[in-house]
Amino acid sequence: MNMADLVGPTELKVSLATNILKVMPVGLMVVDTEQVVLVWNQWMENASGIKEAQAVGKPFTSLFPDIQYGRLHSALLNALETGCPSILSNALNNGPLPLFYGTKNLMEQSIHIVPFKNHQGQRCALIQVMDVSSARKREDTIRKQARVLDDIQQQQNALLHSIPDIAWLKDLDGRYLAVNDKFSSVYGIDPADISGRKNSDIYPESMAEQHEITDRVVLETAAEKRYDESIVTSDGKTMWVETVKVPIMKGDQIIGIAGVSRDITERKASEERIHFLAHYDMLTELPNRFMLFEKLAKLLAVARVEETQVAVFFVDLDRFKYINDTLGHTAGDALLQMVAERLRECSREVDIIARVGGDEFVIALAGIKDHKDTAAIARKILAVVGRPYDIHGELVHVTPSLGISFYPKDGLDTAALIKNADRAMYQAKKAGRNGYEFFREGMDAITLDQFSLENSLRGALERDELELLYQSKIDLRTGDIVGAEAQLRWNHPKLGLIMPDRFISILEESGLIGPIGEWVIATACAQNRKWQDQGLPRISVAVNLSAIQLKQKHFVERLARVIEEAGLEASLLDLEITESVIMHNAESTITLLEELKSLGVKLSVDDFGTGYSSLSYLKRFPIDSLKIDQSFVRDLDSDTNDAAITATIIAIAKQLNLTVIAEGVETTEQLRFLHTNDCDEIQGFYFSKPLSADDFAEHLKHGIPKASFQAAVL
Amino acid sequence: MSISLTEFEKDALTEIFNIGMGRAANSLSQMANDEITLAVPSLAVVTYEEAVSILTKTAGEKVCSVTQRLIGDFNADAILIFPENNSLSIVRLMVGDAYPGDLTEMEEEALTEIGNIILNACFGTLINIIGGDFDISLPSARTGACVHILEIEGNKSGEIVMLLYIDFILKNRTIYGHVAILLEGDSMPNFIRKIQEFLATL
Repeated sequence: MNMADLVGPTELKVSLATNILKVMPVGLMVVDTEQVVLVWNQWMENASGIKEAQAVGKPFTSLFPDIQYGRLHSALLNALETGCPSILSNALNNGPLPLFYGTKNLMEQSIHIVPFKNHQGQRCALIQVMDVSSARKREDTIRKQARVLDDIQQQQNALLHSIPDIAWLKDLDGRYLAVNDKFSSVYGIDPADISGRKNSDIYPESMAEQHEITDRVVLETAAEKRYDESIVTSDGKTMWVETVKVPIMKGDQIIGIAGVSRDITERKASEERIHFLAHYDMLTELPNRFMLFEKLAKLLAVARVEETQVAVFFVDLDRFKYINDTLGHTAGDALLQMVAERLRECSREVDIIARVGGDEFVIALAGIKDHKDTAAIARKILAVVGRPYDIHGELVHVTPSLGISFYPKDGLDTAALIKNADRAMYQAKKAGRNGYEFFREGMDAITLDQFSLENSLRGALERDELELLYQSKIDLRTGDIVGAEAQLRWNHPKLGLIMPDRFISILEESGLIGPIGEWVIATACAQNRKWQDQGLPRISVAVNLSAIQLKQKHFVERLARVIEEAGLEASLLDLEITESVIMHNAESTITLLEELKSLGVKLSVDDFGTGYSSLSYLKRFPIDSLKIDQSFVRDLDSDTNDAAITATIIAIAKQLNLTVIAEGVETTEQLRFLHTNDCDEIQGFYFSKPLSADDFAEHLKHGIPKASFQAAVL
Repeated sequence: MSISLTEFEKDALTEIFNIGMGRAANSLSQMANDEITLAVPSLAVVTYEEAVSILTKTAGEKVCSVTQRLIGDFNADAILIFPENNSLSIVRLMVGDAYPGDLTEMEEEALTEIGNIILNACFGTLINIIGGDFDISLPSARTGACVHILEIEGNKSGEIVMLLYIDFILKNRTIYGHVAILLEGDSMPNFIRKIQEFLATL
């Protein structure tokens, strides 16, 4: 059963229409052709205060006697007469009907007048009144809010543009919302054109990637991200900026990212300058001591992991103070710059070169396989740095002394390695300069005890603590003992036996080399004379001369007197001078050597192969023999280079008609190699260690047994 | 079938619309509290394409429009068109320079009513004079390109349009507007017949 069955279709419709009219939330009135009110709904009752019963049946215009109907009336007439509907807007009609809400406020109204025809064909009009006050208010509020938002937006924009840094706002998807003027000028993008663009539309690829990454970090952590980066501007310039990105929050939701990049190019430049000043030596632009420690520590860390060796060279210029004093500091500085440049020439990319003091440099080489490599590099440095320097048109000769330490053998940290290389360098200086020395255990003590050693050395001669030992030289063709090298030993009452390399430099520096050097020559000469007097084979005795001794005044005369006093035939005295000493100031050395030679003594070049001999000088020197440095001999059987060098030295000596002697021979293999290569004489533990004068007399008396000698060399 | 009007018919129609404009001007003047005169200087019957071309030329690419639809003895869309950049001037004309609020807030509402007054005046007068029975819709406002404004329902290509040129005149300001009456399909002959019937009674 439905409603239509109860009341019939027409009644139902009317009833429904009436009820709907009554409850509609708008004002509804219907007037007939004569403008008499037919319908007046509840809304109209409430708004006008006129009850339905008071309104219905009355002429519309009579209901509101106090108003000017004006437009409302003409529109109503128009509707009734011609059927034209009208709209009376709130904009152009200020409250046409006296309708109120509450008691005070005139309702803002929008009125529609719609004509229609009733069942009799008479034109009626539906007047519909809508309260637009609340709608208006809502709209006003929205508009005001929009205007405020607009203002805020404008203020934000103004704020954004007033920022002297590059500034931008992005949404969650990384699309730019706004950028400021600085941003546009740096990246060459019109701010009006920025909206919706992404990182990849604006930046070069790597920069865009960097932005993507940091954006993601900010979004994921919801925290500020601050970092320095270098950017490329639209005109291709590189600029350093400090970038800060912060999440834009709405409540606890992230809705975007705000970013600011401050130009720190200048700050970065001064930072770099400060870093450079702190880490580099201004004069040579090499890393300084601080930077050296930093870089070397890294190199050692790598070596530790890779289990490789690192060689640390301590390079000190010989006589640098002299150059500084005689040519001036400007020349000294120029020299240091040139030395730095030459050291760079010697090194590879991975090497570290640093200036650690006035004329001190440190070089570190990674990936060292063995000490031969290192020796080769050391020789290269000696050669390159030792070349003459053209300083303001003047040729200046300066030689370096090198000390070398190895990681991990000589130290595990940077400080220990540099300290030990330094000590080895001192050793090289003491050994006559322009040379290199590997660090050895024991060097420590020298430096540490240098002062006390010097003090006790002063009385050593008087206390009879000094002694000469003799090591034989054997003719390789005959096996005969043909000479002896006198070697100084110091029997220290507390320290025991001290080798000369530990105190020679002290002798030189303290000036003790004069009297002690003379004692050595006198003792050796007297001893040789004594052996001959004993009827032992006639041999020569060799003594080592230091550079300092050679420079002593009247050295030649004093030497002549010593020989004479000893009663030794001068030709039985052999003076050994190191290659580096002899080649240093070679021209003046020639004169000295000739004076010595005129005494009738023999002259030998000691440690041959470690310095840099000019063949033309070798030819002009009045020398008798070359002694091949023991470092070559030591590795003869394992190092083909050393074998080649040794063979070459022998060949050169033959060419120059010089006797060639190999030192440090300890094995049969070394002996055979030297024999095969026609070396003249050998010296070394293989046949005899250094012996006391008495023991040597015995050794000389018996000689080398022929059978064992033949067996050894064949 | 004749789709054109004779000069006499045109003159008669122009006169009818002039009467309507007089009534509209009266209403508008009352509302504006200032003298507003509206005039119909000419009337043309053209094709749809010509209408678009003419309106674009005189009103510009972008126009404001108020449309009311007539259904009855003949069917037509009556469209009031004026240059978009004139719309605020028209609203200001109506509310006066002293209006304190933001004109743009009420622009559409006011324009709709103004269009309604003018269109009602045109058709009210026409219907009063030539008679007839029509359902006329409430006005609706639109803004856009001429070609879209005229395209009320589907493709009007080739259809006949009656164009009225209306001047809005306020003292030293002249604002042009146009009323286009788009007669639908076979409505044109009916329309002409109604005109002819009326003229025959004179």
